[in-house]
Parts: sequence; structure tokens; C-alpha cells
Amino acid sequence: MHILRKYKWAILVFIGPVFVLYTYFIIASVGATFYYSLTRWDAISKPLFVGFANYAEAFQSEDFAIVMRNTLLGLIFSLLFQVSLGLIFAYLIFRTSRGFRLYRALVFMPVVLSQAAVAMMFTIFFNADIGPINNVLRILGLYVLTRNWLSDKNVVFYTVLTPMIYQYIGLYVVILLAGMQSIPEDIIESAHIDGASSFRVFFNIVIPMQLDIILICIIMITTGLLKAFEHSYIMTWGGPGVRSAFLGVYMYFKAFMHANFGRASTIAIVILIAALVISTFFRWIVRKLNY
Amino acid sequence: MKERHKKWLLIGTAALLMTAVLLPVAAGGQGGGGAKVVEIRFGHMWTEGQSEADDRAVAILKQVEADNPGMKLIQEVVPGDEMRNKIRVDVAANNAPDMWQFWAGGVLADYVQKGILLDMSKYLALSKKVKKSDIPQGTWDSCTFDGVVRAYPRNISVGIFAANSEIFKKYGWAYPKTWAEFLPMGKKFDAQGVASSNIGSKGGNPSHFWYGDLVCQYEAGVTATDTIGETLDFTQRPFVKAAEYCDQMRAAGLFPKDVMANGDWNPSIAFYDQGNVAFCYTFAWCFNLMSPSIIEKTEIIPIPRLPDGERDTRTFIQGTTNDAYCIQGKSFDDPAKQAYLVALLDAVAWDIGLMEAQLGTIVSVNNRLMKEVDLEEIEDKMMVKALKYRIANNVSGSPMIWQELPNNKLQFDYQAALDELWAGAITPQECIDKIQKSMNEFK
Repeated sequence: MHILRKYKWAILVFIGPVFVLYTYFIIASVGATFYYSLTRWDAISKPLFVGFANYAEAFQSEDFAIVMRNTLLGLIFSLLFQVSLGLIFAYLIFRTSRGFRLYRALVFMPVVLSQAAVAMMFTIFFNADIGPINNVLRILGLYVLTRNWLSDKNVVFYTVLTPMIYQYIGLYVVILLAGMQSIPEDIIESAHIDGASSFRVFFNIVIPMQLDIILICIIMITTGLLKAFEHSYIMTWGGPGVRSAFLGVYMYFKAFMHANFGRASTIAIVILIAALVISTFFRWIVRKLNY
Repeated sequence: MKERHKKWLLIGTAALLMTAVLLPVAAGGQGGGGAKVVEIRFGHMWTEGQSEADDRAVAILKQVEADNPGMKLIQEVVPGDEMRNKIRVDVAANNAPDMWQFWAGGVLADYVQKGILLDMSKYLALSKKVKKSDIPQGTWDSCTFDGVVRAYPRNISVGIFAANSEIFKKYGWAYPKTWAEFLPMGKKFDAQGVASSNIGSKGGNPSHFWYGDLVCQYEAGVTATDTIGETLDFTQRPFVKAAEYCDQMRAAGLFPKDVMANGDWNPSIAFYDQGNVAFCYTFAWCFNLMSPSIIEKTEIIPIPRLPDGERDTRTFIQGTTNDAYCIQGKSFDDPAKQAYLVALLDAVAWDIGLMEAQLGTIVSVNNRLMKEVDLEEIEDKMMVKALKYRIANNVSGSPMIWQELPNNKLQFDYQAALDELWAGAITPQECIDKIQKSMNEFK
């Protein structure tokens, strides 16, 4: 308290502007979005207050159900692949004595590419008429595996999810790798002296000591997936219909294609709440595992 | 340092920081040099460096600015459909440009309703380059709401259905004239490793045009399309039949296998341009993306006639007023801006219109302007072919469902339902039901 009192002017000067800007651009924006979610508003006329009608309509909508299912499935697959593969790649690089920097750079490379470029690249790969994936399958005689990857309603969601997962594995590898590098070398050395295999070191030392870092990755994956937009929009326009759309794409459609900013704000609030709930849930799990 | 001095030092630092943040914001609206300059914001789609037509259009805009020293022209370039989003957000923020390139038809309705768009008769009364009589009344109608013209129409959409003649010659096939000849071709193409057509569907493009062309093979289809904004009845027979015929095409393999990947304008024309696609269905805005070798092989043919089609398909294709220019009423009523806006739209409607028509990137709706275009000198050879075919067959434009739909939501739902129909994700009846449901919500 003494310090706070002593430096009250400095605190006011240096925190004040940031506090004002943060409140205006973040807190007030969230408040305004919540208000708009309670209105019918086409962004041109004045908003009309309709209470929770947008929420009721959203949760009764078939399309919204498909989009929610896509988002939850996407989240499960992303967590499954990005965290597990991220951990495995990070550990492999961590235990590599030669080419450490090269492997790290290679695995991180897709992260720095533009999402639009990656989406376009995968659109060409998966093009059933001229793309290389079906061509390779045909050359190998695997006709039975060829699909209309971007048009078949049964596979299009997974097709769109593929570049989303691929592009960001490298980010989590680098984050997890940084975490692994902070593990004291003597712990791992003594485990090896005691006869622990790399496999055991991974499961009994590395993973338990990485739980907080894994939590950060989970939160980043969750928030990233909830607002996912570019890959789905560029590859398929979220379609056919909304079969490959995520909440972010659906929100965009509601705002700009349906000119229904009230409903779009509802989706934004759903995204916010989902992000908070899922992040809190994983924080709780990690805390339980830590203690 | 004394406590009091420290406090003043901190206050001074804070004041400097705030000034640094706020000064650029406050200075944002001022012209440089202190001279009185009127800013005119123009939202358009000509991207410098993208094509010769775009470069020339931007050069003309720069010339307009040079000819009007009191005007600072701020160009807000947004390609394609994104212009819809930009204008909606700008209008919501009370920050709409003074003039912008848009589309004719129902897409204007929201803005007309809110009183944002200028009554174009005010512009026409002052224009030095264009007259109302230059443009047919039917074209003005596409921009008219409650008897008032709210936008200046730009071009008509010139479409073609064509075949790669080389493929047909190679296999000794004849061009199909009827549906019965057309449907079995999917299997023939597939057996030879040839893709049937470039008629994909992503965001409803180009599928909604094709669907409209099938609807308009019925006399009742033309009427149903013309009046869909009032009847809001998508269960009418021509709409249902056209959906069924599209589904037949899908089942017969007459669309690309991957309708999404090869849908939308640029991908669909790129797909055709690789030379292994039998049929091409596209519009003027894609002609400049076709290579000279593929243009050479491309032969325009009529769309095969439906078994119960009533109209001669040689004589029509989808084609109404496509784009239009809008002026914000508030800006035009500002005496400081009015003369500049007249000069700008004059240049855009006449100078750029003439340049684009001569290059062959558009066909202007302005008949007087088109008389100045030398058909033989049009640079885009695909446009020359298309125009010659139109003249020889007396082709007229048939009405477009998308344009007649009364708002953005209906247009989007219609496009999305066609994507699903093309992909085989829904049945023709489900497609009709989806669109009708959206119409019922609008009612």
C-alpha cells in the first residue's frame, strides 16, 4: 500500500491511458456487443430491442446446430492432433543433438505463411478434378479412396480442418519446446542414470512438468478454433451450405450476408462464453493434475 | 528532485503521450498545406497493376483529380463482393464514401429505404456527358425504387455458353442441341478423361446464372423471375423444374466433380482454360482471364433445350444490368462537393465506360457510348466473339433471379442453397424448400 501511495502519480500517468483505452476498446466493446445481441439490427437503421429472441432463434436453428457441431468436433480434433503431435515433435527436437535449429525452423515455417495462402494451396491439393491428391490415389490404384474433397458433404469438414491443424502445429511445437528447454538438464540426466528410457522420461518427467505450458496451448487452440475463419471461408465459403463452417464464419455470414448484426452479435457472445467456459474447464483440470 | 517537480514532470510526460496519440487522429481530416481542398471518397474495384483496364481506369481518375485542383480524390479500392461488406459497415459507422461502385437491383433496397442514395435525376440534370435518354428505360428500371432512380447503371452482363471445339473435333462428337443429347455426354467425357463443364458452385457462382437460364427456358419462368420480389413464391413450377434439371446434370456428371473447388468466377474459368473441359459457361468479367489459345478453340453454342423448354435458347442468356454507381444523397447536397461529384461520375460513366467497352471488359448500358465503340477494334477477342454471336442471333438478356430478390439475406440463402444442390448435399425439393423458407421469413 505504501508503494502504491508513494507512486500514485506514476501509476496514474502510465496505467491510466492504457486503462482508458483497454476499457473503451475491449470492455465497452464486449458490453456493446452484448447489447446488440439483444436487438434486431441491420447496421443501417436503429437497433430494435428484442430481448433474448436472437439467442432463442439461434439455438433453434438447424444451421447453428451444424456449425456448433463443426466447432466442437474441430476443437476436439485440433486438441487431439495439435497438442499430441506438438508434444511429440517438440520432444523429438528437444532430444536431437544435431540440426536442432533447422528442425525447429522447418516445423515453424507454415505458421508464418498467410492463412489465405495455405487455404489456397490446400484448395488446389484437394481439388478432385485437377488436384494432386486424387491423382496420386489413382496412380496408386486406390480409386476407392478418391473423393470430391471440397464438395462431398460427408468429408468436406475434415478437408477444411486439415490445413487448420497442419498450419499451427509448428506454433505449439515451438511453445512446448521452449517449455522443455526450461526443464533442468540434471533431472533428465539422473532419470537416464537410473535407467529410465526416453519414453519414460517423456511421460514421467516432461509431460508432468509441461502441464502449465500445455494449458496455454489448449487455451490458444480453443480461442483460435472458436474464431476460425480464413481456411473455411476461402476453401469452401463454409459450404456446401454451412457444412464446413465454424462459428467465426457463421458470424460473418449473419453480419454481412444476412445483414443481421443482432444475430451476429449473439454468435460473438456465444464464442466469448464458450472460450471462457472451455478455458476455465481446462484450467481446472490442470490445477487438479498439478496438485 | 522535489516531490512537486516530480509531479509536474509526470503530468508533462502524460500530456506529451496523449498529444502524440491524439494529434494524428485530429489531423486525419485535414488536407495538407492548409489550402482549402474538398475530399471526395470513391469506393471502386479497379486495382492498379491488376489489368490494363484497371490501370487505365485509375489513370482516368487521376486525371479527374488533376483537372479539379480543389478536389482531393480518395480512392477506396475493394475488389468484388467485399464491396457489399464495406458499404454496410461504412454506412453503419456513418462513414459512407461519397460515391461507390455497386450493383443494380435488390441489393440497393436497404440503402434506398434508409434514404442514403441520391435521386439520380439531380445528377443527370447537371451532367455534361451523359443523358437519361442514352440508356433504355428497362435498364433504368433495375435501379428505380418507387419511381425514383437511385443508381447510375454501368454495364450489362454478357454471358456465353460455349464448347471447346478441339475436344469435340478430336472425338467426333456433335454439339448437343437438346437435353436428351446433352445428358449422356457426361459419361462420354468421363470415359475419355475430359471434364464436362466449368459450371461449379461456390457462393452461388456461376451456378445461380445457369439455374436462371434454365428457369428462363419457360415463358412462365421469365414472368416468375421478373415478379419474384413481389410474389415471394419459389414453389412456382419453373423454379422447381430447373432445380430438378440441375440435379439431373449433377447425377449425369455434367458439372465439375468438385463443384466447390471449381466454383466461383476465377477458379471456374481457370479450370476451363487448362484445355481439358468440354463446356464453358461464363460472363464478360472473366473473358480477360482466358488465354488466346483457349479463345481460339472456344465456340459459342446455345444452351441445350430442356424437354419441356418453351423458348429458343439461341435467343437469350442471363443478362441484365449488372453494376451501378451510387452517390450518397447527403454528399451531393453539399455545395462544396456537388460539382466534383458530377465531374467524377461523368468521367466514370463516360470516359472509363468508353475505355472499358473498347477494351472489351464490359458492354456499357449506354447506347450512345456503345455506338462509339468499334467492334472490330475491341481488344478482348472473346468479347468480340460474344458480341458477334449476340448480334447474329439477336440474343437478348433474360432476367436474373438474384437481382430480383428483395434483400441481401434472400440473395445469400438462394446462393447457399444452390451450392448445396450442386454438391448433391440436398435434393431439388429441399433446395426449393430452403429458399421458400427464407422467403417466408422475409414476408
